[in-house]
Amino acid sequence: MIIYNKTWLNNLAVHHQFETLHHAGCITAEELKAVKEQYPIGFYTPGIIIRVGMFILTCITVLFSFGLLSLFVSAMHVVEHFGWTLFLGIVTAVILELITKEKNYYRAGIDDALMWMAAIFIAGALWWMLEPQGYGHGHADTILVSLVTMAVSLAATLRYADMLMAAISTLAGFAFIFFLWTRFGFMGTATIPFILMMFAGLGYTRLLSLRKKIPIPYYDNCIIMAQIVCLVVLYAAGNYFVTDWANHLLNNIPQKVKLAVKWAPFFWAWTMLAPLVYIGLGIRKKNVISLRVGLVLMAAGIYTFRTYYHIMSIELALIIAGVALLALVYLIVRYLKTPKHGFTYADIDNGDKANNINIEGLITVATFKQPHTHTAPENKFGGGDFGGGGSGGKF
Amino acid sequence: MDQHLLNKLHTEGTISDESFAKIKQRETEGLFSLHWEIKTLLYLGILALTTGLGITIYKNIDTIGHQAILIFIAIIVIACFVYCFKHKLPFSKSQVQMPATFFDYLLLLGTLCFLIFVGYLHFEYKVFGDQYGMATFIPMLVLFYIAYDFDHIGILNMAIANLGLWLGISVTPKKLLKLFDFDSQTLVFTYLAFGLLLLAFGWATKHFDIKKHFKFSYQHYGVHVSFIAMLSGYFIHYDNGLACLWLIGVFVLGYVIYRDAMEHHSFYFLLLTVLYSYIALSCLIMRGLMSSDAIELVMMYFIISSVGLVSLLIHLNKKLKAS
Repeated sequence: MIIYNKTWLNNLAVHHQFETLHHAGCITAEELKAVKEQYPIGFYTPGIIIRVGMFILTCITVLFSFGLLSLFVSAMHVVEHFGWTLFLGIVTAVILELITKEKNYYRAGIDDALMWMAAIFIAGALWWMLEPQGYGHGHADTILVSLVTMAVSLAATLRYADMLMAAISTLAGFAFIFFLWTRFGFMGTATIPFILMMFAGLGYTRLLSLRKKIPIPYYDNCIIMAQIVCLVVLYAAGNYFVTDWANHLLNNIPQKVKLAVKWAPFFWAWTMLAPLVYIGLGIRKKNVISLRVGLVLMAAGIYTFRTYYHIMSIELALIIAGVALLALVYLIVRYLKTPKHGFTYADIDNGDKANNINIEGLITVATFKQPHTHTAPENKFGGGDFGGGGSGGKF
Repeated sequence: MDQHLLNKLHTEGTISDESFAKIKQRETEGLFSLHWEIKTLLYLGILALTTGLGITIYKNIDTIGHQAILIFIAIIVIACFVYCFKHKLPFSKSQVQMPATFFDYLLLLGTLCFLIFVGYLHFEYKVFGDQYGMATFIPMLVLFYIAYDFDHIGILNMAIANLGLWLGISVTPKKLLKLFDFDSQTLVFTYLAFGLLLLAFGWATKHFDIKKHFKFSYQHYGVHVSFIAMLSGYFIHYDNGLACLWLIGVFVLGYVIYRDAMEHHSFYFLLLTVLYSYIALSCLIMRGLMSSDAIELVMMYFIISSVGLVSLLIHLNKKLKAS
């Protein structure tokens, strides 16, 4: 399925693991070099900067080539037909296949550009084919459009293991469910939030077990992206603002008109509590994805609340939020002065930049339960900053 | 972590006993770092609090009075800098680590509040009179001092931006601004001088070995400003045949930056010099092709040149890695 050399992909994963260990200060640079030499990679992967440059230049090449080709055949009137776009997309895809195999490009900018061009041209041509009369003839076309998008991006994900394609594919899948289900008249529009929640929750748990089951991390990043999309959709489906907005949209009522949302207490509870559940689960299971998505969604929840209820002025809300956040940070830093329950606030994956808190220091602290001299200034800082915030509030 | 692989590497001797023990220790500890989350929350907290206070001050400006606000801002500035000076590490010509994890946040807060203080003071009491140059020159000096003394690259970037502001204002006086009579040529020359000055700073940073890691910031701004100034110089004088001299300037500077990038293994500056030189070359060729009115030729040029550029980049990348 995947186009890349699997041994090299495995070796790449080995490199990443040992690079992390090197940054954390566990292994020396010589050891890292030795490991890398023992597990060689034949991919052509330039740095991010050259990758961006190559991406831009490849886009220029492809677009001007297509422009020139279209100019040559414009007399034959094929350019007005979707088949021409499809043809160009397939040509790009074939070039991509050949060039990736021949030159062993892996995230080189050239392959990225060709992949996106091919996907956009093919998907665009298929949309064009499905809707020759233009957009908006019933719901059938949106169903097909989301299906086509999902198929094309899923194919690209499986073949090239691209993270962004995985995200688009997952989103298109949910769009497909949404458009399909809302076709069932009133019953469909009333139950759609629950259907989406069900599929998103199911998708997330399936992906969690999938990531544990697959020992070979070819698609690791893709699965992480899909998990993030699932978590966000799971939240958004029950978010009060989103349900209110979708309710207007599906019943063709202008957004200005006030409409009673059914099950409002449930949706409000979901809006405010679901992010907390995400954060709680993230901390319990030590899952970074759930924790960070939860933090972002908490902000979304508070924002939703503020759009409906103006219980206090924006500046007061900001001051309270600021003081609360700084107090929270102060408390966490104070609580985790010595690592507890396997948590630390030090940057353990980056031994060089952890400001004197190296892993040995942490271990010493954990073992002997003695105050660590290096951590003292941080703690003092936390206090100072919070004090500043407090005086500000009083002022 | 793949235990099988780790054990294999250990028995083969690739990973030493000491490192193996460290890895094992790390795994048994199983520490989960909240570093990123805490930093984000701290940043958001500072942002929310300062914005909230800012709005409050703005809304109640009539009742609070300017002096009270100024004193309040001054207290923050003084508090931050008292802390920073107390805990700072001694000045060194090489890179200095921050003494504590969140030290740089506090330094940044103090510096930002200092800028607000100066701006407020000038806006309300006109301490610098009509001397807009002075109003930007003094903060600039302070910013450069803080950047060097505390070794803070973020504040160095602010200082560089302030230097540009100061130069821009000094060259186009207030009178010209009022008349909307921008003297483009003067502006281009000013920016070119600014860019070259920054490049000279970058070179001196390296040559005299004072805060070598600051070189990137100087060069980053210097390269962009100089190239853009020369390209705009070309377009301003487009009708004049001598405008091509500006493009020759681009190529000369491009070559200098190219040599420097090769010497210091910088992919970033290599890409910049290639792209800016490509733009200049395309300008020259378009000038020739535009008169012949052949769209096919223009397209052919872009196809061939971009393919050529991709292979050039691959080649240079290889050369840079090999050297």
